[in-house]
Amino acid sequence: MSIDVSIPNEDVLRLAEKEEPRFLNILLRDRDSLSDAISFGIKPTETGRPGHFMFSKNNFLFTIIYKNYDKYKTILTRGAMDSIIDQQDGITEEDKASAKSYWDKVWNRHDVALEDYTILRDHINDRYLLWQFYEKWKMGEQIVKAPAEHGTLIKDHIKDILSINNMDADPYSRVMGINEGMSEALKYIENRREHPDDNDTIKTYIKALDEIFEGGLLRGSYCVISGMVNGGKTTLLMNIGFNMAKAGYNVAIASLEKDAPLFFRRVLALHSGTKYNRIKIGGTGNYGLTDYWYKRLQDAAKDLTDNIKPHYDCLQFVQGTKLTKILSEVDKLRAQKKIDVLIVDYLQVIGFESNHITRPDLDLAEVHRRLQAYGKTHNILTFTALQLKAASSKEIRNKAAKATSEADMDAISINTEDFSGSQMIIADADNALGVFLNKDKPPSKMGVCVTKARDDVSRINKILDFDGGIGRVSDQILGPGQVQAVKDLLFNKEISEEQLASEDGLFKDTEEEVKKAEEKPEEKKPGEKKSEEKPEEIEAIDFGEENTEEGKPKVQEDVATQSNTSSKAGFAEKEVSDDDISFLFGS
Amino acid sequence: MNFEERPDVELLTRNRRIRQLACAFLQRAKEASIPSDMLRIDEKTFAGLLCSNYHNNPKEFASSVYGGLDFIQKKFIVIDGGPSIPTSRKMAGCAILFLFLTSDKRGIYIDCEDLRHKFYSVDATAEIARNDLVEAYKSYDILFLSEVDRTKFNPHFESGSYFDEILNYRSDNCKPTIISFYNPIGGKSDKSKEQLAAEGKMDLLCGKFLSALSFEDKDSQEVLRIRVKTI
Repeated sequence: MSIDVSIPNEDVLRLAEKEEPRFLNILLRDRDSLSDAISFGIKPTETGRPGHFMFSKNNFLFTIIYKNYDKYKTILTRGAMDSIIDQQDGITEEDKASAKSYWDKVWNRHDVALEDYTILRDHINDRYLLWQFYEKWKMGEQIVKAPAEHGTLIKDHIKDILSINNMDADPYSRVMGINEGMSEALKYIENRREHPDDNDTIKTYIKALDEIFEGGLLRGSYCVISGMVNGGKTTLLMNIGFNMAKAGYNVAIASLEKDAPLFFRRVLALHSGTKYNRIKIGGTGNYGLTDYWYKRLQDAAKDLTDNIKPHYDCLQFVQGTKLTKILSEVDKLRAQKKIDVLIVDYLQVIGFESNHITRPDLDLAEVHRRLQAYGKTHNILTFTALQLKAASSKEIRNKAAKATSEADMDAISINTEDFSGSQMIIADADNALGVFLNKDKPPSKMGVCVTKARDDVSRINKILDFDGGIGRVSDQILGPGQVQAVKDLLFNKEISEEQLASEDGLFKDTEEEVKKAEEKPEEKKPGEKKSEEKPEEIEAIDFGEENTEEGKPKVQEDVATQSNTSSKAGFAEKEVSDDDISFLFGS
Repeated sequence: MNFEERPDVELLTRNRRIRQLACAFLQRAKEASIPSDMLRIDEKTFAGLLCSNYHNNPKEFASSVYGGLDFIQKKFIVIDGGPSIPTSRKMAGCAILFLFLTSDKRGIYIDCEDLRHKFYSVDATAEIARNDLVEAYKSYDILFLSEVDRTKFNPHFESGSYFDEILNYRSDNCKPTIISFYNPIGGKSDKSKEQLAAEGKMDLLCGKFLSALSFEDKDSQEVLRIRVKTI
């Protein structure tokens, strides 16, 4: 087998001769490994640029594998190989036959295990570094023999050494002197002065959080959200991502737990204000997808695709997928469009690529470091989630159960030491938030503790509204005056508890309110309610004007049919209550 | 970049929220052990419970109670009067507890007898310590202690001190406590509480707070007095 490079190290060459075909065998069989190898930076040798394979046959085969993947995103089958080879010009028939038989030879190896992939990849990369270094090192001899200007030659040589490819997986560094620094700083200040709204931050569009972060989160920064199991981490991430996407930012969410279709169904339920339970139950029954709800979901989908057009992509993976693979998929997306926000849900289910014996926390820290470096390198605002420690979860859950106000929340503090995994994660993160839900069923409030934030604004607690039925997290919706509406509703005994829990009439009332807002007072239809008859808040939750003979309100639309089947249907509703779908919203 | 929600989405969100909170408050009321027939007592029903001799204008008083938290946000809300069967006292207490709950607070209703028994029955071998019990009742935003009867406190147990610890903490932290007394609250006396105690007319077995409150016969900055009618 001919050698493309010459290194005065027989052992390395012997190892390369053995390992390269084994590595190629994996790349022919496993698409994920192939994708990983390409995103890792394994390259074929090209004119004027060294590649990873030392032997020409291996390099030739990998070149075809590489090009085939680049074009079709698949592994190189024998059929594809034949087709590619046959189309090659300038190759003799003998060479073509030789190339095909080499494919067979590599494919038919039986001494290769997929588990060896990482070690083979790293060995090949090490030899690639050695090869590059050797080429640079040879220059050293010329420097020694040079008659003058050694300083300049040595500086150039150092630059050359530092330009060696694939030294680190995600290299990112920047050196800035004071002159350049001042110039950059003034440029930034000038831009801030002229365009105060055009800053380098991205809002979450949850006012309470944006205020804490002084207008939003910096591009390139890294934010870790921690909470207990089923504690609202995923839901908060989904809401923040959705808000940002609606505002026009390109958001990618890499989900290692949820399927992409499920994720978008949740987004649709959120946007339409439809309980996810209805989609889960299905059918056209009262608690499923009646014509009304079905239309509402369709309208919402149309609204999202036609009017709002959020730039929201979901990348679906399985638990244990390695970060290299995740980032390679993000890279592919970045090739199509600029990504502003990357959400990775969540850190602890990403597969480790290092193996620190008895120290999985260090492996986790390694994953975190790469993810953070990726965001910084590409100036992407990155979010990820992390579980709380089991002991901390128990304590926080007990305290959170009774929390209803920000004053209560002061007693609940999620500190950096409550976060599981390595402490390095929180130490490195630009922002860290702890979240928890209150005890209501379904939860009605989400507490957010800012455990770490830039510019010393940490240790702030906020209470947000949480609607467990649809998974919405938002600022507090009801102002002080509007809380009276809740009381009015509760003390109106004509409205039964079942009616309160149902959604009947909710949308009709909303539509009527919108219509009323659009109409002038004199254009009101006869018999229509006047605004002064009842306070605004009561109108919003009115169940109907006419009372039945029994003195109970005549409820609207499908309530009538519901009442006939209330016991059975009510039971069905209980069977799949909002609590039951809470698993959808938690990690 | 920015986005604005459509008006109908905003309205829908608000309406959903109103209902969600209403359901949550009802749930909290059930968790607070308020009997189901004493949930959602409205202003009119509450006014009907009040003693018109004590409260000159029960409707006006009820209106003040239901008008906002400021009126009832006292350290102690003390209820007495009514028949020996405690329904109306309990109803009035539950009505006020529910009012607090509808203002996004958390509370609990417990019969004094039950709590006393809990303190008696807790011993060193029990899973829960007396102090844990005390801590639990300290922490609620609102506590409704129903049917306090001074004469039932046993001199062999020191439950009075636990009641004192709870009420002292709640008083210091301005956490309202609703207390309904089985016996009518004592009449006016020129003698001090210490003198009454020395004469045996005011025992301290139930603790200083309950003892003092059972003699407090007027409204004050810290106490709101409610008397329910006999029939």
